[in-house]
Amino acid sequence: MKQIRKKLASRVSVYTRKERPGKKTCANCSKVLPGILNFKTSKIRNIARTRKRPSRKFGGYLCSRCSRKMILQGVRK
Amino acid sequence: MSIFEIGRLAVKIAGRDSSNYCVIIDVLDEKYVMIDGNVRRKKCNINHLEPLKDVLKIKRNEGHENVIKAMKQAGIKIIEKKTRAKNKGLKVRPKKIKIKKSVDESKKVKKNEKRK
Repeated sequence: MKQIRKKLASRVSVYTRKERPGKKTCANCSKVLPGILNFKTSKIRNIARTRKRPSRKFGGYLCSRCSRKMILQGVRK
Repeated sequence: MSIFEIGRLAVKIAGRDSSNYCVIIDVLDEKYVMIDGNVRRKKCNINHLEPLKDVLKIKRNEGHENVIKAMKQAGIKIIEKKTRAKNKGLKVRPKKIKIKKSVDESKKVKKNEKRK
């Protein structure tokens, strides 16, 4: 909730405006993740999971480039 | 011969089946290769694969069952495909049938009388 104060001639009016949650970013390189809906959870609860985030491993947590690096590190150990 | 030969074990890095073991079945050209195993049987770019050291003894374009058998001998855990509840014969909850609320005729008559 964001509060906005507006000065009018005779009085100050305060009203609140609902805000959308911010865009999700990658945990490693903090780039904006594509394909993720940034609505309140109450709005997107009924939407299918495949529309909310990619079905890849680390989908919705890491970007595609960082997830490749993580998997490569795991394999080459 | 490049490292991506028939029977080479590899790990898929990108895509839906990432971080799964796969076996190369057929070499299409320098860039593309056919794969099978714990992944879907598909054409794949070699940049999305990480080759490993061991090579399985399989023919070209081998069937899915033989590939799985060869992988088991090499000691690799096989991921079975999730069959839907209907195929397994499990109890599937019947879908709710929405019944439209039938408004009583008498109520409708009363509303009209009020309006007149």
